[in-house]
Amino acid sequence: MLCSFSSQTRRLLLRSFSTSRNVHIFEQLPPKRSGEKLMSYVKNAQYQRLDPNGSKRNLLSAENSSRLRADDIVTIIYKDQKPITGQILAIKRQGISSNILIRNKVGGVGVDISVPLFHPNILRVDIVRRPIKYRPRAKHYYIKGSRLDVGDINKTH
Amino acid sequence: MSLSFFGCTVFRRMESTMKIAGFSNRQIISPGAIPFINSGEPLIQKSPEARRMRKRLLERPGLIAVKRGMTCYFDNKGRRIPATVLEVDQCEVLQNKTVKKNGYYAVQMGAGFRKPENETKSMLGHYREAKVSPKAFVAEFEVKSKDGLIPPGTEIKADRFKVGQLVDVISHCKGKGFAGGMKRWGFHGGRATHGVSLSHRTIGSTGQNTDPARVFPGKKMPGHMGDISHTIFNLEVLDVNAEKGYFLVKGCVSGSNGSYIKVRDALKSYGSHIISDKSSSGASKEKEN
Repeated sequence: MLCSFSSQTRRLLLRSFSTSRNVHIFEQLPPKRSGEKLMSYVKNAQYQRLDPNGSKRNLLSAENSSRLRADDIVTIIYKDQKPITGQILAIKRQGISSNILIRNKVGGVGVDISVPLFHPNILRVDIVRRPIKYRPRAKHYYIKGSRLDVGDINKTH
Repeated sequence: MSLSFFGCTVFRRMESTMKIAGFSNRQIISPGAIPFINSGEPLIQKSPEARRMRKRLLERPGLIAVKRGMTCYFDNKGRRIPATVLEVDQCEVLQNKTVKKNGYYAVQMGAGFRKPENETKSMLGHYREAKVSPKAFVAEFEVKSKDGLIPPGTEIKADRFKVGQLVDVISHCKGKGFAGGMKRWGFHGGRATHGVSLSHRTIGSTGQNTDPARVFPGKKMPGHMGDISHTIFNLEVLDVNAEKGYFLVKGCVSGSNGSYIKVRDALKSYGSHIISDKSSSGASKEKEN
């Protein structure tokens, strides 16, 4: 393979084919992001912007033994509104759009709130209480309306 | 003068009588007194030129992008918006089509990279003329005039689009194979019980009896679903990063991840700030080219 620079600063490759004729081929443009795949780059860039110190990622990380789990009672501290408290029913891990579903009773009525964890207005998530023994499920939708349902969490804690 | 559309013709003749030497503007002229009016050649409605002028065309071409997947985007108001990540990689201009040679103005672009071993020799010559690498996908963007043409070999970057503007996204949607009427057209199907046998998901009647004695063309029936070109209009551009080669559009885009798509400025009314409004005088100028 012979290489020489063309007038347009694009490298011209001379490749020979089985037909024994040289065909002029120009090299492709240099790779962007030094070859990193786009989705992983976008994901990391979003993490850098929305979670620079990695505290929210740590809450969801499977390697963290004190990560959030269904059955935990958490308080979510906002930048611009009052904190909300509830018991986690489910955690949906999908990168920057991860959600936790928390449930509480307000005036005797069960209320589910889906919280986008990486939302810029969420400052932090405090774990108020952990159960002695976790239920053997990752999603606790089944407790709604049963005897296992959450109580009025603000009163008890 | 060269314009000879229906409404304009009469008006312009009257105008021209006033300029004839020897007559004052106030004088009433008999039509017979005017020997000859030099009107331009009429534009035949079926000619390619007239067809092109009837089209609603953009002033500048769009670009070719690759759908990479979806994510979410938090905007300044704190809203979480679903967004599609579109990569602009190796998008370069291959050729310009002109009225003189091809009958229309268009910019041909290519994107991606294809191994030269897998490309035909004629296409390799085409890429060599533009001084670009072999492309995996080639497409054309028709433009209004020659002002929209871009010299071959130019790289098109993502900052062609601005944050907040609206774009149209043209792509091939996912194929669903041979699908029944319920899936393909949203028919309700038959009943599940009450003696129904083997026709729970059938389409039912396809028309009347003796009177037409045929099924009308275009009747919605089972058949191949998807895998056709699909345009989604007026998607908002949320984020642009030309250096890293990507931009985000609001909402979803047809087709699978990794498929090549065409993105252009919004053609419909919402994008009217991008389409130029001076459509009246362009005809005669373009004809010369």
